[in-house]
Amino acid sequence: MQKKSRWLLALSGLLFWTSLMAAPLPGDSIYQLDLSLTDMAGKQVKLADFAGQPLTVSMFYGNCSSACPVLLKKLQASAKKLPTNAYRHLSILLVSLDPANDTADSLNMLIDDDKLDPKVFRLAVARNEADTRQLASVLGIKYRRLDNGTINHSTRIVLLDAQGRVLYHDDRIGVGADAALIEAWHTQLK
Amino acid sequence: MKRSHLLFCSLVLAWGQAQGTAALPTIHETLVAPPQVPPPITRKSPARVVVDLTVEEVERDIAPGTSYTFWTFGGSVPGRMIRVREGDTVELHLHNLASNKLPHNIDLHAVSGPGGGAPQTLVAPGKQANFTFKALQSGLYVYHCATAPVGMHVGNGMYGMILVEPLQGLPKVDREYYVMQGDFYTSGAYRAGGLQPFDMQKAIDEKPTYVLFNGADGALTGQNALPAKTGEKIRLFFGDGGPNLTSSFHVIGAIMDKVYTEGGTHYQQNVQTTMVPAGGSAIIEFTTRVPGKLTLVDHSLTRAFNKGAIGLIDVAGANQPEIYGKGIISADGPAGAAPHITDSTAVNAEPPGKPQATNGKTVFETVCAACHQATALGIPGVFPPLAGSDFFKENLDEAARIVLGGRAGPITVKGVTYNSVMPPQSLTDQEIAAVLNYVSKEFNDGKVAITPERVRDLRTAKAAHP
Amino acid sequence: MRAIWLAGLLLLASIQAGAAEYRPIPGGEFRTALPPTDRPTVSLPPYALRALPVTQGEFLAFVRQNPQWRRDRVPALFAARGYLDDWAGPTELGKIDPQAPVTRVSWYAARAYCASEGATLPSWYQWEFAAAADASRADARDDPAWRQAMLDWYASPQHGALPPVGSDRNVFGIYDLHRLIYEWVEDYNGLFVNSDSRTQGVVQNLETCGAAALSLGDRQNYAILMRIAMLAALDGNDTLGLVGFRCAKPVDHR
Repeated sequence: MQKKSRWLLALSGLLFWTSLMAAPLPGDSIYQLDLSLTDMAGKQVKLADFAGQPLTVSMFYGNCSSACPVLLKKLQASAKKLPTNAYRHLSILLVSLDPANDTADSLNMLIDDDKLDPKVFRLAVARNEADTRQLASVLGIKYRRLDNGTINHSTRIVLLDAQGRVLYHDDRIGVGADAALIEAWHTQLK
Repeated sequence: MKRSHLLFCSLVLAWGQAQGTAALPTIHETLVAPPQVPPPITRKSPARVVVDLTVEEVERDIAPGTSYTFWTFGGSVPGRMIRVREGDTVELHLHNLASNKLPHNIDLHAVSGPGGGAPQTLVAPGKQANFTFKALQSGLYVYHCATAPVGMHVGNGMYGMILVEPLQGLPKVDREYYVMQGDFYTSGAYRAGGLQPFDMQKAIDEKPTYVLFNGADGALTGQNALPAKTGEKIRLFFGDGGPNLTSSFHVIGAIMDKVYTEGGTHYQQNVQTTMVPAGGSAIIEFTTRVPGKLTLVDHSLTRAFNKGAIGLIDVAGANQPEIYGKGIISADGPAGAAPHITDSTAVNAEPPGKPQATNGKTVFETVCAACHQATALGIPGVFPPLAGSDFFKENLDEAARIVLGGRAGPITVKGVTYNSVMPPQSLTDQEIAAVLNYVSKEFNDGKVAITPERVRDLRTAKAAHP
Repeated sequence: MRAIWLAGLLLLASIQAGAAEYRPIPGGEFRTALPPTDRPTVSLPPYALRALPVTQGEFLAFVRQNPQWRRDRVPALFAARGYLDDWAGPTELGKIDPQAPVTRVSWYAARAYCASEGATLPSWYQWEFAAAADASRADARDDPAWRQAMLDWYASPQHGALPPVGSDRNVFGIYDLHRLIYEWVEDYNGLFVNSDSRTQGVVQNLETCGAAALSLGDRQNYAILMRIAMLAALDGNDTLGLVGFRCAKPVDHR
């Protein structure tokens, strides 16, 4: 009896998953965007490859000394507060605002320097400025490159559902764990 | 059975939604146009107050015959007054009409937090912002658009007020009115006619063309005077939207019993004139004692006299001669001749109301005679004569221009130089032609010499070359 | 055989005739209304700008060739409700003047159109530089009369249909940069963010008045500030009745 129900559960889960993959994306899904990225391992990925499971997205850049480290600290500190089973499902994509300078190597260095859990954090960079601007636009992130090479940007964190629809976003900045973000993750990863 | 189940479900849903705000009852506030205000709050517990405020860019009269494009919260200047209670949660829906041309937002001085809500509410035309805040402190607070260039948004009328009543409510009064002062900057002169554009340089120089109560020259005079009766307690919610000028607010003919300075908790008593800064307010209470007109002015008086900062409260009721007697005028000296009693209504300081008839004599008596005298002989050295006036005979067009637009500076009539100010008169082309022809015939042995059409042409020419 | 060749030639000719005109703009050191960084001016390399805003007729041809941009097919991510909704149908203008500037287009749609002309949206600086000119001067911005003329357009509500493009030519040969429509720029979502968003105590964005006064370079130029405020209020998929676009290209070095 118990065995059978577990099997049924697995089957229904599989069916649900396949139906998700087969269904066309909703019109407001961020995965409508045709965007190629290079991640910290040098691997080519499409943004739409992240569809099928919840995802947290933000943007940053490698040579950023003020807001970005704070953003990373906030993500790390908040993630640590999640129970293990929720943490296991956490997936955070950070895309560079600086495609002219960030590479797989520089992203990899960042993973090491900031002790980011590679099972949770995926750092990536788009091919060019135009693609980067387009991703920022769909995420509602504002940024502007200054003459001195620094990039002014908003520190938005966006939580997506499995189909790429926005569940939650915030622009707050602070180094500690963020209660609202943690609560949003609980809902997202349920 | 089924129905009760459904009911249960929806109740649970409602409860679940309300959890975030401690299950506050939700109230949709109905907003009304100034000078009216929403009714006093009788609730004794906090609520979630939902307010829908729509930004409308509208063209309408700033003065008789002169129009302007106002940007408004709710279609009026000032914007609709919001009335809540201390501790309420306010859910503001700011709508920007799709037909509008500009993005707008709102900074409410009642909000504790960055920008007073402005960064949360920037909306392009056709969009809506929902912003929720808690009204932590009681008071009368200005709200305004804060989108760049802010001076232009506010200068075009984008301000209003939110009243946060204290927990115990406000003392009962007989009438409440909502009045806001604002300064306006048009390319053409005061009452130049036609559609007037915003003048950026005048705004930057802080040299307004108009200083107005409730967004129009005449918004609170004539037919629009605020009604009251004798022996009533009146409460004015007065604010200054600016963008630039501080108001020296004064009610001619009344002593303010209480002034909650800057809309705060403490009041000052027995006040004559109260200073209200741009972006500030005052709650003013006074008692109407005798019948007649009380005049609201900015006591920086050229603003009242030349730029429109004037409003009226029309008090009806029986005379109270022990409070306000009648003037007895006689020849100077102890052995005075038989006294005559003046009409007490004629000595009020406000400009006369708009005459109803186009009868030149009526217009003359109601409008001109106050200064130029019933004899049209004027007062030597103060008001020039219209009778037997060389200036008048030679310059009928110029006389019409003066009636239309006012005049300041030296003028020589019958060999005497006068140096005073005549304000523009709010008269129709018909009325101006009628009164000039009356003066021409009656006091200058002249004839009917000017037509309403000619006056209209002069008005148009003035609008084109202010 | 010969007929096909002829047809090909005709097609080529028609493409030539329909090709949009781009005019060279010199660029150079430039005083911008955006917050300056360490210098009072920015340095702008030469570029080419489309002489006219993209018209309804041109955008119709684009939609017919790129049906993914039809209003009944475009995903909501790229165009909000209202996209081209003044048209009679998904590929029909109806009563709209094909010479009028296209509006009710999103930033994504505008970019896709420019890409079809081998171009991009102009950057804000590129737009602002060209828009500083009047009919006889490359930079007329300090002329109060010119400023007032620009400003009057913003101060009056839009009534009725937009007039055709091509009425207001500046010294660079660019038309209608003012007094017709707002225009998308490539970096619409990058016009003003503060240098460090930790300084939220001093919110340096245009959405707050006091901060705007701190962070804008040319506070006397209300007409330009209105443009920036409008672009700042937009999301990429917004489709407003007064927002259209033109495109830019690198200068032709041949």
